[in-house]
Amino acid sequence: MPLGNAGIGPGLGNSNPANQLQRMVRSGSSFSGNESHVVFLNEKGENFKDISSITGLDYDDDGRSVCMSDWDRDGDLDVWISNRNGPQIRYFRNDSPNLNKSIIFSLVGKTCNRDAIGARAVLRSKGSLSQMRTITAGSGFLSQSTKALHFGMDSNDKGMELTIHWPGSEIQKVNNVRPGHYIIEQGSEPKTLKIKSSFKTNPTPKIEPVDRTLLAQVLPIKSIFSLTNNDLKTPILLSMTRNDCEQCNYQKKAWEKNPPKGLTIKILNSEKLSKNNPELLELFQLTYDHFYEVISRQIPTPVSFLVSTKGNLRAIYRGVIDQNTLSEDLLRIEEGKLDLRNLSLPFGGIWASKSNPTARPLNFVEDLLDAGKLPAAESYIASEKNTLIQDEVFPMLLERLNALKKERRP
Amino acid sequence: MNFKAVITIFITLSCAICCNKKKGQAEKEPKIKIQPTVEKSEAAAEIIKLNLSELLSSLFTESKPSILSNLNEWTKIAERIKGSINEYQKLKISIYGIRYDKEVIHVKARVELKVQTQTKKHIGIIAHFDSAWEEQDDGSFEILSIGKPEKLTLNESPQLWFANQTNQILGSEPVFQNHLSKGLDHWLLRIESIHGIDAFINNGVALGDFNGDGLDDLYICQPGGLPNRLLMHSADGTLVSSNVTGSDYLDHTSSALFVDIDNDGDQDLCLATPSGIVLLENDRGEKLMLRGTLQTDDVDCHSLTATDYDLDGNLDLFITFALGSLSATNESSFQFDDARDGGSNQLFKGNGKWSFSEVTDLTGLSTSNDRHSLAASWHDFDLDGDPDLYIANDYGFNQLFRNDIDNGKRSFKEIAELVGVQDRGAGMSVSWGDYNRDGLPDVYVGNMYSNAGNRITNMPDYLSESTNALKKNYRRFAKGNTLLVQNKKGSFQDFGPNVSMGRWAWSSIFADINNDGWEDLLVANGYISGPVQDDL
Repeated sequence: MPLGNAGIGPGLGNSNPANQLQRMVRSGSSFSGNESHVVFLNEKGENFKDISSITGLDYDDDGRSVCMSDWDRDGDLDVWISNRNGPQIRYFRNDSPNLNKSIIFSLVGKTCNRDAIGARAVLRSKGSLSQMRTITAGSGFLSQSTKALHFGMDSNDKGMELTIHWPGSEIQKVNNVRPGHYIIEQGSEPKTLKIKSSFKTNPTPKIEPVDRTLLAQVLPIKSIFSLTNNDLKTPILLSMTRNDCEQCNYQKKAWEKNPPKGLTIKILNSEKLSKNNPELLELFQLTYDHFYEVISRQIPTPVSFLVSTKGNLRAIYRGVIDQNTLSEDLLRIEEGKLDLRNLSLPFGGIWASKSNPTARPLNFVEDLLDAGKLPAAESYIASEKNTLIQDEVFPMLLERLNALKKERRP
Repeated sequence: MNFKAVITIFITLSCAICCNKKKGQAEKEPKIKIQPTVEKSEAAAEIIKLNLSELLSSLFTESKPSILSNLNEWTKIAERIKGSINEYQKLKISIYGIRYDKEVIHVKARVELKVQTQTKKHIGIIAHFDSAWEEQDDGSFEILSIGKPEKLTLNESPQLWFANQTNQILGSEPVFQNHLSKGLDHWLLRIESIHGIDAFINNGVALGDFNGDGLDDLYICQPGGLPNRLLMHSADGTLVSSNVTGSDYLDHTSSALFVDIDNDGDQDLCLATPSGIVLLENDRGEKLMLRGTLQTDDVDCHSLTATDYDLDGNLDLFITFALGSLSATNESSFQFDDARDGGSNQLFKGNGKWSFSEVTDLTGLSTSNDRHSLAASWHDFDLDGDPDLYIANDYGFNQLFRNDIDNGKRSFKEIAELVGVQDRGAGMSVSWGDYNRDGLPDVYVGNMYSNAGNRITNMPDYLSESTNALKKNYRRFAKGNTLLVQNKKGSFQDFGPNVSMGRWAWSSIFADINNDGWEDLLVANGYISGPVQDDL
């Protein structure tokens, strides 16, 4: 049950419990977390026994998909489990003790669909009950396991018989099946599956992605950090540091020794601010949170905001800033038409959706109001009125602001 | 505080009702009324859990308090795990029932013990037991009595059945090191949410032989802003990134399938994204070519499945949605135990040559097509030669659509109630099998199990103003997974509690893991382990 969806419903506002729950998770809380995976052993169709503790599968991950396949081709089913948390995927090799042999069939359709999806195979042997397997594509939760059909062999019968019900009612019988992995084309005899080629690739060099976001959304920000036109003669880097932060000190020293050209650097200290100007510290966090699906989470320090001469927040850096990246970014941030969507991501790729995300300053004002930052919201509106006024719901925003101001008055 | 989150959600459940009643009064936000007894008992449960952990940890040691050593059954357990290696000892207490009887607090709990002996034997023990407690003036709790361990499950094995070989298979792969080794919480702090990433997002995995070498490859779906990854199975079993172009979609992808859409002998790829179903043709195992995108009516996509429902030789695609366009609006009629404001699932009939027709309405699948559908699976449950469709719905009833021919046309009829597979609850996963080898397909449905949910919904004053039927429904939401057994053709029965405790379960599937011919059950679970470890 994705409770992220539970907050929906009529008349539910920010203070409803489901929204509160969403806020908690976004701020880093756990909910039914650290639960270990479960395995139930089928005891001859009569009962199931919880054997999780001896399977080695009982990891405390936030598991989602489970996909089965005989990955190492030793006749038993191995397991891939995907997770919400890291690592996002784990592989578990089946080492079960005292295993029987197995028979695995890959089916190829001729008159039916070639994947033979929907084909049902029944294995019959003397002295034990029949087994039935069906080829599916998509089961469990967001999972697709192998299409090969796997039968454990609990019988030594040499005359086992396989009946295949191909989609479209054709029935095929295969006699005297033996352990192994076979491929059966519709209407033909089984052939032992041969691994055709060995896939090889040139190992890609390890490239550490730079830990920064060159923002896809261009958001005016100067009023929040009280940046004047004089401040913005060059781009400005606002760097938030902490006292007990090695990387912060390292960064500071590096800049003292070798100041980056073409921009102004302003170093802020979170301990000092929490005493002298807690409002600014909160606005810093709020600005960070605005871009990401998180609330008040501890951001890795140092964290730095790069503001362009136009007063727009253009990049967010986490950790020590690499000089080359910074120089490159300085060239980019003042430019006009760039593929900001793709530049903003840590890895490359293709988009199916055509719409390019753009900043909506109005949402930022909403965030300010949600956090009760009325003066900051007012000065932001004053500073960015020309942009905000183009948003059709701007009048409603002003109404909300005025209502909040009224509430504040004693 | 730990228990707050849990209380929050079960109060949410009761709130969902009052909100439904208050329809149209949007400006009046509901006030949360935390019943003092719920809060109090949840706080007590948390402390008693710690006390029980401490008490039962003594089973690992030589000196046991008399309250335990007086009971033969606990001593027997202690004997079994005697001399085990300290660093492998694990103990977990779950409290699933708490009841106040005047001054005495009655607690129902389950203990899971896990050890490895000096001889490298693995032992696991699960037991249920009652205990009684009394609150002291200083707020601490004193144990009055502890019952015998009951419903004992004992496991012993000379080795673990599975070995985590992730590092051996993926550890030196840069895509793993830089990207997949890090979880959602890492990326939430780094990718603008506007790209389609959020704290509750779910992304799937597909296995299939992309390059036709006889080995399954792996496709792992990602939230918006991170590229999906196609990883190839190399001859030595390791998984390496491919040079295949056209696979690295950045859109949120809930689910993917390797299927031979054009029946040309290789595995094409279909992706469920908010922009629709992306159809990618496999070009000689070297690249993927975009052959079109099937537009969908909603965006909160979840499961993607393929079948050939009309047996014409062309694969058809079915996609499910949780939220719908109404869900977030005031028009919504969200009801926790019977939500009908979900998205519209859609069936696309394959016509061959990459052409598809939308046939949801035409085939009768638009019946009650307004639930929060998280999972679906096709299976010929009545063995009449065509695939039927089971849909697991969150917040309510599941659906079984029987594939019929009506006047020469394919038509689906919803028969879940008729055959007994509605399994009202928080459906999250579907898997078909034949666990008892009687030749009739059975279905295992993933649901939510919650200790806190069981504690709270079983309290006497939980939803005190509501009907018993409603209380039962809500209890059902914390009960866990369901195995629905087809006893005779067209009639299913709930197998019962032995296969329920899959925790907060997601994929819950049949698979014969020990080659004995009997299909076992695997359950991946756990909701959200955030950076702040504050849950129960």
